[in-house]
Amino acid sequence: MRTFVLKRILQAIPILFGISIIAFAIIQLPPGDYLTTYVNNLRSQGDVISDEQVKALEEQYGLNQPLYLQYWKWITNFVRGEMGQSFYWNKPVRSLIGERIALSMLVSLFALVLTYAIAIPIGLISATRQYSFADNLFTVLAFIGVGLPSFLVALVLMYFGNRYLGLSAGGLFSIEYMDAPWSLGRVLDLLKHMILPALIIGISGTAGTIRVMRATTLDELSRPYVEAARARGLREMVAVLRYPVRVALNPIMSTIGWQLPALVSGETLVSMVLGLPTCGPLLYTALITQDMYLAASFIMILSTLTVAGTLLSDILLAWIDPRIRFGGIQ
Amino acid sequence: MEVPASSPQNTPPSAPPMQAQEDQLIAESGARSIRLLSHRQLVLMRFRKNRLALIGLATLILLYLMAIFCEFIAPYDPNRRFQGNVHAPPTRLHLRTPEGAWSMPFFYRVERKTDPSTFERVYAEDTRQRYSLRLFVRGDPYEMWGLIPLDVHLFGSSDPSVPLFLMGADAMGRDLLSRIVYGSRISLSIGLVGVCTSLLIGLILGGVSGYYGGMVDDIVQRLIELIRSIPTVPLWMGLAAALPPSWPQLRVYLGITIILSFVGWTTLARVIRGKFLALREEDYVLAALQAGAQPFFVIREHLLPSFMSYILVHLTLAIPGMIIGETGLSFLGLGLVAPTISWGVLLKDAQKVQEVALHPWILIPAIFVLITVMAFNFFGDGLRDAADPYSQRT
Amino acid sequence: MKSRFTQGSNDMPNNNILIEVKELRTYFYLTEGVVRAVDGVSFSLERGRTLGVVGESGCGKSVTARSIMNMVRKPGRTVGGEVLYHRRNGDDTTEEIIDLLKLEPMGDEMRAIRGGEFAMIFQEPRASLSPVHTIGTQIVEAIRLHRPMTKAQAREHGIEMLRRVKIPRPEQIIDAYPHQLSGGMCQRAMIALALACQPALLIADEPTTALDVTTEAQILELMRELQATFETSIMYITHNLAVVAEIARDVMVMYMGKDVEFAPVDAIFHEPKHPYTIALLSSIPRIDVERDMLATMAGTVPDPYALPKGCPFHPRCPSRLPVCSQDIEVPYVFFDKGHRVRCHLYTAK
Repeated sequence: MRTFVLKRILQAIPILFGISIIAFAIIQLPPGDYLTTYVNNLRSQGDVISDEQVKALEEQYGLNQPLYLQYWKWITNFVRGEMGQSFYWNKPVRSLIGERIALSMLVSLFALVLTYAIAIPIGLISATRQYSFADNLFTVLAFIGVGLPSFLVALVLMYFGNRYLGLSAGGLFSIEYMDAPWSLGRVLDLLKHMILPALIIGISGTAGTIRVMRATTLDELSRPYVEAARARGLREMVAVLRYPVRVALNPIMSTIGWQLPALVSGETLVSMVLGLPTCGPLLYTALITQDMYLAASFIMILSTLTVAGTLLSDILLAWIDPRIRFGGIQ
Repeated sequence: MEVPASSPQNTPPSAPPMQAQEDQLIAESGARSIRLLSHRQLVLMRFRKNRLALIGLATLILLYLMAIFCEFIAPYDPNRRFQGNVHAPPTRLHLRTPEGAWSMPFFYRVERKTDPSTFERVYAEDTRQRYSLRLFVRGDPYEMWGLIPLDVHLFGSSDPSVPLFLMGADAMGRDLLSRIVYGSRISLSIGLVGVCTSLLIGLILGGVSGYYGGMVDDIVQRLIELIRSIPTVPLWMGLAAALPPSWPQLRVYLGITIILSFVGWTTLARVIRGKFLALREEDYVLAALQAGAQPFFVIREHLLPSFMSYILVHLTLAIPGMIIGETGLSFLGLGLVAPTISWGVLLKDAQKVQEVALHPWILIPAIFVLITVMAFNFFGDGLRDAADPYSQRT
Repeated sequence: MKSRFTQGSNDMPNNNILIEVKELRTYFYLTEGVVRAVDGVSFSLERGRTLGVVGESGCGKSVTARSIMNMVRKPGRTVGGEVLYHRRNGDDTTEEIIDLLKLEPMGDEMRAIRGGEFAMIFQEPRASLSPVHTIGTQIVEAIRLHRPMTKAQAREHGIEMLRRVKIPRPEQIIDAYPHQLSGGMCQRAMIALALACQPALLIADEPTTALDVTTEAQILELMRELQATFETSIMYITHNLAVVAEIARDVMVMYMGKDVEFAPVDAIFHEPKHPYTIALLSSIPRIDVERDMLATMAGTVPDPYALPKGCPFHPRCPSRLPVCSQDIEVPYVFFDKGHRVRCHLYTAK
């Protein structure tokens, strides 16, 4: 087990390196450098900036150095937690993104939990009551849900919520908690506001998981070991829950790895529609205003956290399934 | 007890000729007809049985016909502004006259008033004069596919001065239906172009990876893992934001396709590589090679047929993702921008809930996106089931 | 109480019966039609004896076994007959007779019998064990379900059982996962699991089909030994006549859901009566008879949805009579030593 964990962690390192290159490339991609943009912005606002100041800024960000040195400077600073300055907000990037990243991850994880909390029991009911009314209903719903783009669903739901329920949907906090310090009330308020966004983000994941859960459970239910368990006198519920479900859960667990990027991805778009104070809207502003340090930091951190999540899910899977842990065959 | 002694040693094999015996057997067992079907027949048979897949296919054909003939199908020039019709609501079509008689579809001119007490906007039909919906009317001139100058539209208002807005008008008084119809050309084609680009990259890298194996395979696999571990939307946004705003429409369109394929190819490459590796080990492929078949023959006769169906299925299922990607990026203003018309660009108007609450019809493009995505999923799923006619999917 | 299907010599009262199956019918209701998997099967099994059930695949052997365990799953249903279980109390003084088919299939009473008094082992030993649980977890669970033991006691008992089935290093193997063991080891573990509660009946559904010949011989040897110690009755299902010859005292031959012949093992091999049994026997190689070519049975197994009328074997039967294709139930014909056959050839006489 320890070697397995170690191996997976070692494998993650080149991936993180690759991500940092892509993030850095995104900083570099826009035509002209961002400093020029920044200086132009300031000048257009009427600020007076001398050429010396520009030079000093260039020095600070190493813009006059070759690319690989710039990259080195950026990544070493990044690892130390120095993510540079947001030109647009004129604040250190770190102070801008902390809470937003946390909230983004929280919403995504909540969506993940909801996805499984809804999909696993439904998939199970569908499989054990194959071709019943409930099974057919869920199958059709899952079929429709699997391809629904979450931000459009959010858009449509916002409209209906506004029109028929009078909800001023959006945000993650009620007004009274908006800028309040953390308290139990604020946490509960946050949870209450998180359910709808999490459900929307989780739609296609839930639908997909229902289908996978149903298929694999059906597969497992017909295996000899289930019959053998029945022949041993186990209760039907026990024979189903203890044995095949344990096995059927494995592919579900192994998909956490790609559920997570999809959820974070969906969260980015949905949060913009619903106006959540998470990464999406800020990343968007950063990209629109070419605030590249901020944007790159977002991409870098979101990706890193996703890789870490995938890593954790892999380790979890190996812990659950002895066949993987021992490198055995199916 | 005396019984006719018969033991294995002295039972004469008194069976009638095999063929006759079998015929007789078939006859006796209820004469179930046995017919051999080719792979293609089986696939078709299975696909035809899947009603949802057929509906999906029919919907897609209609949508793509709309995209191909958009100039003819759209009642108006998508950029024509109708004075005094800003945010005009969808025109109601009537089939019965006030007297209760059935009639061809007709409509009334709509007048906008402001309720003096609530200050809400109200739309009232002016019932003095009826206008009818006519087929093949002459209207805004256009060039079919940029080549043939024409001015006939599939349908339109009987009176050119009284416009017909079946899906309402936008903030500039432009006919939303016409814009949606024109938008379909870009929104629907971007999926196809994107998937083709993905397929090209996927085929090359997946094929190379599966063919050479070893180091090359390792590098390509790590690359795929890398791209897949980055959340797609932030990555797309980052790349799309890098497209210079000064680019012409066509180049932005291509840029967006490439950005969409940047992630899309990874799935295809995985499928292709996996299929390649699996097929290479198949007994029938080995048997064919052992029997002296040329590699090219084996690829054409054995690999391609079993390969193509999988690729086709994956392509079909990858298209909706691309369409959603374009819609999402353009919706945010990071993808295509006006004056280009795509469903995502149209939805940009629906970003604010307040706007949608006042003019809900600006959400109609979303319905088109949803229908397209679902049609592709139904069709692709049916194709997947049919492509494997021997599977016993429940 | 004694029925005509009770085996053993006819003139001695037999009170040693464990189960009696009468006119068992189990049908499967599928969209394509009704499959009569078991269509009127009767036999009985004595305590401590072994019954071999043979027939081609699809003849209803396994479904008969599952019907006895009262665990036929939908779309299958036991539509007729009785499975009488002569249950004895601990000191063999009293005996009660229970019709298992009258019990609720997943009810407490049936589940107590299943696993506790009747046990079953299956064709694919590795697939019959949960891949994500250790052998120990599964054996402890089975023991504690039927016997009042603590986990530690059950584990101790489990190790003892593994030792009894000659698994080396049972203290370690008990914590192994099925995929770490060979097929033969898995089947030994399955046997240990099945016999852990000292069942009165062990149903073995082709337990050695998936194993190689050497392992098969070892498993058969083991089963014989264990039967001697535990005094378990065994119902051994197989399509392999050689295995039957080795392990069974009585043999039931099945064809298309019917029990075409039932006899002591010697009688089956030396005086087969039913043309199907004869054909079956002539299709296996023998060293005592010189033959150029093995005989094959004419025709193929009929379509299960459209069984031939009358005797199901008549289209393939080399000695069929006009009466065979008539739509009447083929009667049983009884011979001495419990030998019986369902064939019109013998009623004519």
